Amino acid sequence: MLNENELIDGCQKGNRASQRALYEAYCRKMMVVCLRYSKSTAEAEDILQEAFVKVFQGIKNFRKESKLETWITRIMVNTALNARRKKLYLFPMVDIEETNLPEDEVSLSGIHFTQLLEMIQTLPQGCQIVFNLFAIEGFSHKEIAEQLGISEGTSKSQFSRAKSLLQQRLQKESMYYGRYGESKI
Amino acid sequence: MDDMESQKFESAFKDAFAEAKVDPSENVWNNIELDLARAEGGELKRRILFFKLLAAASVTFAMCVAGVGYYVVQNNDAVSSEILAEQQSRIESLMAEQTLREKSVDKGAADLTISPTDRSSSLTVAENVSDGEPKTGVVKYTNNSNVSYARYNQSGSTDKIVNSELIDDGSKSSNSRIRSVTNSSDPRESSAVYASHIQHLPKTISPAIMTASVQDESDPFNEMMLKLRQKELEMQAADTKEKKKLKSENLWTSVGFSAGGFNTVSSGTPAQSSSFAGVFANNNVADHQTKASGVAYTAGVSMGTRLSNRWVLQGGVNYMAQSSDYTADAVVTSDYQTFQAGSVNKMQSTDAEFLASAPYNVNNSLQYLGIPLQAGYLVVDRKFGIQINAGVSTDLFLQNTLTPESDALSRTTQGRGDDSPYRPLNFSGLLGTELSYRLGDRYRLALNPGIRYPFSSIYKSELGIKAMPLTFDVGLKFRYIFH
Repeated sequence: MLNENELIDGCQKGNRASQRALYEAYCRKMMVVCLRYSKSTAEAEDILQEAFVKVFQGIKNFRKESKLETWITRIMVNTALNARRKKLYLFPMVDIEETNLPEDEVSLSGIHFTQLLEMIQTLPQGCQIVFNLFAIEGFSHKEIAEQLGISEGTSKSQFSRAKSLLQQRLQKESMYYGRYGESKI
Repeated sequence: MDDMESQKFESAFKDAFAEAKVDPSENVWNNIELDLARAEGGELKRRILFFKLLAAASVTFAMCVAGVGYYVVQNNDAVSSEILAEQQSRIESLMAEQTLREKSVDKGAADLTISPTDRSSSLTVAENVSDGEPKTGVVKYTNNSNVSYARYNQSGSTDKIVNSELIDDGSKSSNSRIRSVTNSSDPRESSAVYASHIQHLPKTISPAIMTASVQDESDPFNEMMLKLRQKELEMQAADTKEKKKLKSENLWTSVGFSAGGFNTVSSGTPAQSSSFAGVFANNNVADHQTKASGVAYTAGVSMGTRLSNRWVLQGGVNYMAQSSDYTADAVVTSDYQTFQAGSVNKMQSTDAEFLASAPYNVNNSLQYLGIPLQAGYLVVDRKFGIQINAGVSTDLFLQNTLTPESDALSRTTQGRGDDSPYRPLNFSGLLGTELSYRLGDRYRLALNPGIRYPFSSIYKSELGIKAMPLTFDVGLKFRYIFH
């Protein structure tokens, strides 16, 4: 079993076996990233494929200054954003009225991540991207606004909308679990 | 409080996905591998394109330089011979004119002036008439191909006879004979008579060269002109010597290396296998392998000799390697335990079975021993030389090595023989140029871009595959000149 440095060195030399090993090491985690930014599995696989090709082509320039996983994740997110960007032009993000739903404590315990994925995938385009970037990737609204070419206010309102929609869904799920238990998952 | 709740919500999501994993389908890796192979192929193609462009640019440059060089050399020869002839005629006419002038001044002789009205140049003929002896002067006129002579006789008596005999190879006044008699002893009259006769000359004749029968060698002007002439002859001799020195390259040997790319111009694929899947896999592999482009390297030694002033003959021995990568999506096996890379090599084998597989990369290396024989034409044969070569190479197939990029498949080598799909002997046409520079008396460095194209497929005809790789390469040759 090759360690991460050996994997990187092999990939930098264009060794196909090292590339395969690197792919095997990260493809599952990265598939989740791609699923979060897409609406279907097929779309996520397209993003994953494109992003991994970019990883192998760009790994010659990887200087090991950051963690390999972080670097690969960044490529996945950028590729996903590029793929979604065209659609964002078709459905531009606009400021929406902030919802003032009660901030009830919603627990995610007992909910499988695939369900959370499904919830994220059902969000509107803009909300989905902003939610992922803010809540999971940890970008600030200012950074998101710069990346997507929108105003900071739009980013905030899109996130607020996403959060409220997810809370509604989670409340429904909680009620369902309350009635039928966790056997559904 | 709200902020804390909000952060709690976000971190809950983040934590939920922290260790989340989903298996993508197997197709994703296959597609990634294909994309990478395509990108690598594109890079290789770009590299090949670079070599092609370099070769094409070199050939174009060589042809341009050859054309310009040839024009300049030809033009220089023509211009220099024209200048020489003109200079010589001027020198001679000036010498004659000067001699006659001086004689007429010194001895008070009669002047005879010829001044054709329709010509820019004038000619003066003077002859001594005081010595009482009849004298004959010859005046020679040349204008390119038109040559005529005017001969005049003169007596010292009171009766002066001017006998002008004009001989012209033109039509206007050829073979015309003009005779006139004058009783006057006045030289101006005889001059006028002669001038009137000269005016009857055809207009195509222009006086350019005049040879006088009398020359005074002790004259300082003549001495100067003779010195000039001598210097000119010396320079001509030095030039001829240099040319002879450069042309002393009669036998040489050279060692060279060339690199370039090749592209298979035409190819066909067979249809022979026991199963439909086998046919598909077989054809796919053959198609990928035969159409693959790659890089070509040649190293060798050669001998050359000069056949004539401009023609040379060159021959030698070369080792040539052609390397290409192709994507195979089949493996070959005969016992279902050991597997080899799918290739054209196993198509003739009856016990080999092609099995479809995930795509993988295979490096295909062909090695030949070439015996080239080329005739060359020296367009420019100086310190800097330009030579155009054309000829034939007899290529002996040595071996083919397949190196699959897979740990499960072994590297295989195919030599010559009945089981080999490659022709053991092939002939290729060669065309190229040689731009060279002479380094001292014994050495010459040459850059030679060229193309190579086989006259027939590199595969045996019974295989049903045609592949004729067109190779562009640029070589560097170091030549040692024996004599």
